[in-house]
Amino acid sequence: MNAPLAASGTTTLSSAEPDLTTASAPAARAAVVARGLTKTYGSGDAAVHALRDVSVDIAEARFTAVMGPSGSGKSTLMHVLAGLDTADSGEVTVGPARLTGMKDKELTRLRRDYVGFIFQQFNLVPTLTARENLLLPLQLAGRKADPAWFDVVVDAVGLGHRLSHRPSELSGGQQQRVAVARALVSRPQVIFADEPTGNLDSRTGAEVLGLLRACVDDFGQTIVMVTHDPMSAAHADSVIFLDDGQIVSTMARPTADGVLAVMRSISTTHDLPAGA
Amino acid sequence: MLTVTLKGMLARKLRLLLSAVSVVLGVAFVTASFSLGDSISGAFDDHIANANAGVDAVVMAGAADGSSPGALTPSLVGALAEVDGVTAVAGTTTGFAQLRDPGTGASPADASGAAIGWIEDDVLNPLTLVEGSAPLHRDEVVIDRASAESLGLQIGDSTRLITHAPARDVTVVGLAELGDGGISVLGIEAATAGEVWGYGDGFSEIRVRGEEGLTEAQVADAVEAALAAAPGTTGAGDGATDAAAAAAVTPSVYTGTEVTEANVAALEEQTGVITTFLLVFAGITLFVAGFLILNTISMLTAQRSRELAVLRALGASRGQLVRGVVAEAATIGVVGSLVGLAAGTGVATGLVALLSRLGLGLPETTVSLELRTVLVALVLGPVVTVIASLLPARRASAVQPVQAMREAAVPRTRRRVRATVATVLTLLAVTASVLGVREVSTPLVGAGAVSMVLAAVVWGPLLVGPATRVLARPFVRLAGRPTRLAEGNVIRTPHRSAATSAALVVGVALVSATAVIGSSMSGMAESEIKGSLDADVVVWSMGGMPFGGEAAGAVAGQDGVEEVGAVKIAEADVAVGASAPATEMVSAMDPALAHDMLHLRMVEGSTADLADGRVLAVEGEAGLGDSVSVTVPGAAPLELTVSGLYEGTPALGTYLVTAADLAGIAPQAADVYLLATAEEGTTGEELQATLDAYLVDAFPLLQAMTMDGFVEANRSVVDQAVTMISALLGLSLLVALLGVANTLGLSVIERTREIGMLRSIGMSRRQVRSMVRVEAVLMATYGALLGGALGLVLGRTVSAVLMDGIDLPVSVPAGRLALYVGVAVVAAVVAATLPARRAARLDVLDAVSAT
Ligand SMILES: Nc1ncnc2c1ncn2[C@@H]1O[C@H](COP(=O)(O)OP(=O)(O)OP(=O)(O)O)[C@@H](O)[C@H]1O
Ligand SMILES: [Mg+2]
Repeated sequence: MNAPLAASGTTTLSSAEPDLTTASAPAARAAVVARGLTKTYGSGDAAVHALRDVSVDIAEARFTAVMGPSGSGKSTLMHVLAGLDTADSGEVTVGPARLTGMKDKELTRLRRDYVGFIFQQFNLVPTLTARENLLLPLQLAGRKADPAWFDVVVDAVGLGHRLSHRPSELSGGQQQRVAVARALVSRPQVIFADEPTGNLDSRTGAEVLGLLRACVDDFGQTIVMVTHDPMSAAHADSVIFLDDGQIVSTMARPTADGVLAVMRSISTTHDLPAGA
Repeated sequence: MLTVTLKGMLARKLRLLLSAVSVVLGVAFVTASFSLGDSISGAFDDHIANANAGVDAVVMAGAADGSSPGALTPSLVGALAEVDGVTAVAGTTTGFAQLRDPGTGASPADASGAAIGWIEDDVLNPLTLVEGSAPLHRDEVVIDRASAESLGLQIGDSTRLITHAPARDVTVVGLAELGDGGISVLGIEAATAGEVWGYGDGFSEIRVRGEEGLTEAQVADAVEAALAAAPGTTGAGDGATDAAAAAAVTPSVYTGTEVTEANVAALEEQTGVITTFLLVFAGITLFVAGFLILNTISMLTAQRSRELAVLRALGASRGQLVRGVVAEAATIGVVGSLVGLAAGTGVATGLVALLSRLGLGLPETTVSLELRTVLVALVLGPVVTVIASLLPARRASAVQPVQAMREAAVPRTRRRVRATVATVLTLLAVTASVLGVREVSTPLVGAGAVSMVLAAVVWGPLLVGPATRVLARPFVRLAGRPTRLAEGNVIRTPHRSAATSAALVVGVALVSATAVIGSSMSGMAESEIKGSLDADVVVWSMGGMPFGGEAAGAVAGQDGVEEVGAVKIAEADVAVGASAPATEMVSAMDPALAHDMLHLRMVEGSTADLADGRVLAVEGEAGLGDSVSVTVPGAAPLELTVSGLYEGTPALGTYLVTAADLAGIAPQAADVYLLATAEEGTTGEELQATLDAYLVDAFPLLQAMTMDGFVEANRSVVDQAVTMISALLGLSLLVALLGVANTLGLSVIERTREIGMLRSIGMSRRQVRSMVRVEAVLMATYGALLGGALGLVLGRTVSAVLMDGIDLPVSVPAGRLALYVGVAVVAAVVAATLPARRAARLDVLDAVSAT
């Protein structure tokens, strides 16, 4: 399973080795730290090990992609890191907050203060205008928007003239930009995005990825993105590869070809036809 | 969060409308009940106050409300006229009288029967002459304009005057109104009035006006002092009945205001009964509506669970979600209540107009919408809505933020808890009902009934699945594949289906219980009447109105009559031993005739033990040998000894005394029915025909009936009550059926995408329609069957208690129950029409891409 891979810049890892999990340059501090996460659905023969002893550090102000075959545990990992779901064992720290054993109230506060989300289905509230959707997280938290930052964000996503439109009047790409802006506007410690371009055509997808990239570069935003697309992963600073609930590899400064090669090798270990 | 809620609601106007419908119905019913009651009593209040204006004091032989009158003598009127400070005195009599339509010969339904002897003094006379002349000569009458028109009577026309005394010809000499007019009323020449009501030249009341500047109380005190100083001024005038002459009636003095208040109170007691009755049904409707509100809001939040999960992921707290849902409910409640208030006022206006037109003696009036009604409506609607929203709100707040990204997991039902609660409730219901029936305890049976309904509601979500599977079987043949889908749709949301049916369960249970109770009661009427009366013919006034004593003698004189026994009844305060007096109905009969004609089930003694100074009592009310004191207002107490105990029967009051004893304290006590036996060789039918032919002219208000006919008439009273109650309960059924339409409509909207998918894979519009219809039929059949079964059990336990120890099988009106179930199912199919059409019309592409 841990056979050396041809692509340059990749290291094969066993997730059991604790200090090899930093996927980015050593200088970066970790925005999210996870240790020994396991999560099992069902029991006995029917047990599905969605996560097996996963430890990972998400570097601050970096763009991290999570890849892996369908069912490898990407979404599960992300949900656990974001405090949307709890692991059976292991620990997660987001910024200064230790998630383990948090009550619903504290988790709510965590989501307000430290975490932003971008969903595959955009998940804008259809009855609110783009502006209202943007301001929703702040309103929920009972906070005022910082007008300067709001303008910067709106400017960055390039939606200035469409703010009074409702989601149904926006294209998919535009809706996802609103969703990105919504995640940015409360300046979270980290933004999680599960296949944010999964519902978009490749050009629009590329635009959104460019936007995410810019958020990292210009605002120092930390972003974790689950994706299936090697081209998308290539926009990231580093990639974490999951297979069967384990981190099987990481890659810094990924290229589309390099990512594809790792993915192929993972598929091969499942005896799938090469190039599938 | 509030903006999100409000915008979300506005974007779903159709759903908002659907969910508000149940609130509108409930509140409309409450509003209509209140304002109808207010309008009716308000209308009478004003008229009574106007009619008594200018009257300072009133002397009555009985109570202020005119019950149990005795006769006041003309010399008393003369004596009062001499009293210092009194400027005018007039004696008069009041009673029941109607004019006949000279064309048809019938008595109009809209005549109230209220009539009074004419008083010449304008101020003391409650009537005001508006046209023609006053009735100052024998057999002259005046009538209100509306009644004259509906009878087709002109001034100068002759017609017959119908009272409980023999009918007589009278002439209409003028038109007169009571108060502001609009009330059906009759003014009769004073001496004629005294004759028809049996006062001779005596009076039932004396109206007194004092000098300018004296208060009512001063005038009343002066009159009272004069009465005390002039003994022997009461009794009967010449020509009054012997019984009246024997009476020792003490007159009482009231101020004009007191009389008005007493009259108003008596009326309010009547209208209050109607209002209370209506309010009970309004309450039931609101309770049923509560289920639908709960259901609607549950569905609305379930449909938005993804949106709610996104909000949670974006940092909304549980409290914020709960508040959002509750705010939504409150808005629906307020909007629905406002609409319901308007609708209810409209309904009340319509009903008042209808009642005046049907002429139930209701004066023309505007509908009064009192502040209380507005407040109740505007508080009740939102409160019920908010309470009903708490459960869905709690469920909504339990949405996991992960659901924003995953397909919603199947909601976990806490079946075990539910089953436990349901079992406990069922056990409670059974225990309370069984004990209640055995101990004949109304509270226990009531508790049993309530827990039975609750148990049915709690069992609902567990029952609906298996029940639907069984019920769906016959439809599979009929509708094929769509049935399987419909079955699945009902089963996959057991809470929703159960809540929808619950409204129907409650509605059908109530009408069925009413039917069972009604049929048991009319069965009881039959066996009781046949069992306790031994006569060939019964003479009575339709509807059980009491009538004067002349009829008994007149009937006894007819061909073929062997014996006539008059049964009298009076309301009296009865004290057993030293205990506090209670108001009871006291029956009276000649003891010898009672022994012949009454077949009472005696617990102690026999009917032969009835004699002057003795009384028979219903068992449990008193013990053998107890001394009983019977008091009628204005008369000295009658002291009697209990000589026998009988089982209660609808044929008699709680006590039976001799006719002579009752006449001693209540000389005017009227007959309620006459029992007549036929001579040898005359059949009951023949006697009935003879008497009827005689009565139709001589005593037009009385009817002769064979025993079978009398039983039938008593049954029809019960049947009418059952019909009326069922009609009112029908409204809660209507609400329940709207609920079925509502739930289906919402679930069609919710399943837009799925229906689009089904259509895209080849389901025809027809199949879609029948799928939705079968869903409605399944839920309705389940609800109606469960409701029917519940109603049967409820009806049986309640009847058992009402029939208190009477050994009679509770009868089950199977046909009627089947009819209710059938009607509910058919109505559900009708209710499903719109949702079915909407589902069938969905454009496939739009539906598939719908969110
Ligand atoms: N609620 C659940 N109950 C049972 N099994 C689950 C549940 N959620 C996820 N799983 C299982 O856990 C494993 C990991 O799921 P996860 O959604 O994390 O995969 P993924 O990598 O995101 O896949 P994809 O790329 O298809 O989205 C899968 O085998 C899945 O079947
Ligand atoms: Mg996934």
